[in-house]
Amino acid sequence: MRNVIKHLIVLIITVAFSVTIIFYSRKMAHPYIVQYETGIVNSTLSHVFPGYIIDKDNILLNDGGKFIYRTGITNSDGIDKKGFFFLSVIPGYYCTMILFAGIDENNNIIGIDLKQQPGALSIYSENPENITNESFSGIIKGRSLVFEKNSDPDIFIQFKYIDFNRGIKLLNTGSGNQISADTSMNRNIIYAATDCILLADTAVKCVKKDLDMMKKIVTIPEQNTGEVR
Amino acid sequence: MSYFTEFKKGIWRENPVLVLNLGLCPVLAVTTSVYNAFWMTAAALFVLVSSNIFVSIIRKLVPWHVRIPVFMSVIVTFVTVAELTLNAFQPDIYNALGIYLPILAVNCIILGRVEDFASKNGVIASGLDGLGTGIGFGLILVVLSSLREILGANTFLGYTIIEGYKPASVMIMAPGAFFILGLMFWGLNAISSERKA
Repeated sequence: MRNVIKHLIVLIITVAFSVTIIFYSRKMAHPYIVQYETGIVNSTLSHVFPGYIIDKDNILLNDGGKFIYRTGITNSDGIDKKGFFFLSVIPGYYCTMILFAGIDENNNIIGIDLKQQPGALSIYSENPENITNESFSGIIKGRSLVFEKNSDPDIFIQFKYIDFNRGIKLLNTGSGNQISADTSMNRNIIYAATDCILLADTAVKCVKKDLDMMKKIVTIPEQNTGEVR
Repeated sequence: MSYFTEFKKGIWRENPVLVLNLGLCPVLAVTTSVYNAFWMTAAALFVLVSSNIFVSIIRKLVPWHVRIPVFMSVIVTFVTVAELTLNAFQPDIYNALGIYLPILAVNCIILGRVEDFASKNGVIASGLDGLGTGIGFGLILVVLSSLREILGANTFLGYTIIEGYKPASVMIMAPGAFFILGLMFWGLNAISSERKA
């Protein structure tokens, strides 16, 4: 019995030592880690959505699921313009990709940026997994995500404030994008999603280059006032 | 046995990778570039020396039956400190090393030296043993990563070696690591055999 108590005391002291050291190490490292991660988030946001001042995450419940977005403001010609930024999960040829996307008040898509290509789902998958991450920051910082199967395609949920029947004009496909040949096509939002499917080719290459940034800017020719609920 | 002998045995005679065949997982995984190898070496060296010294200090206080959990706690503590430090000050390297940094906690080399040496010897000898073993581990990492980076990417520390040379990318991949490590095993055995003869 005495031995057991002695063992227990030694173990408790060891754990207390470990916890103390780790606590103080974390305390010292934390500001630097936060600074670095904030820098990553800000540089991603400013790279994809130049000129916008973007606030923190907003979460709204949407048909039992979460829809996380950020709003931002830019000042153009003395007029404040609002933008909405969100994650879009897109089925690709090889897997589901996560895109970081944004629209302005007139439903112009400001930018789309590939953030992650988490893993193979199925070839020619039509139904992407539903993302259940807690924040943009998690994606931008490259943290792993949890997915739910058998969910509705996020593209329809996240783009619901865009008129699906309205055509989308492809203005700028960015470098390395192989879908630019089809710009004359009058696309609706389904084709926009198909664009993203086609982007899988580019995405695979991007992933091979350590997820280099891929940029694509598309614009809806006419304004269509849609609001995020 | 002199302190110098304790120090140098881990570098050659008891090299953890080429002689004891321990810790091969990070050796194969992170040696795609010299930078990765250097920082993995630094982290392993820190954990080895710190754990050895600390365990040596408390060795007489730790009952035999609970030594492994105690040693593991000590190792995990120092691995966490190394991980947090890299995350704070070398975030790119931290991301590049990925899972191979935290799994230093279960690296056979570290637990092996702590259990086999530090728990039975004095502080200075244990520290030098950790230092020698860490340097021996790091040397293999750096040599292997240098060869892989030069042959597989035609670069060294990011600088191009030969303009226009098309690198053998298989060397950056897992088979290349096995191939070069196999040659290193062969080289060490050949030298050791020759010395014995």
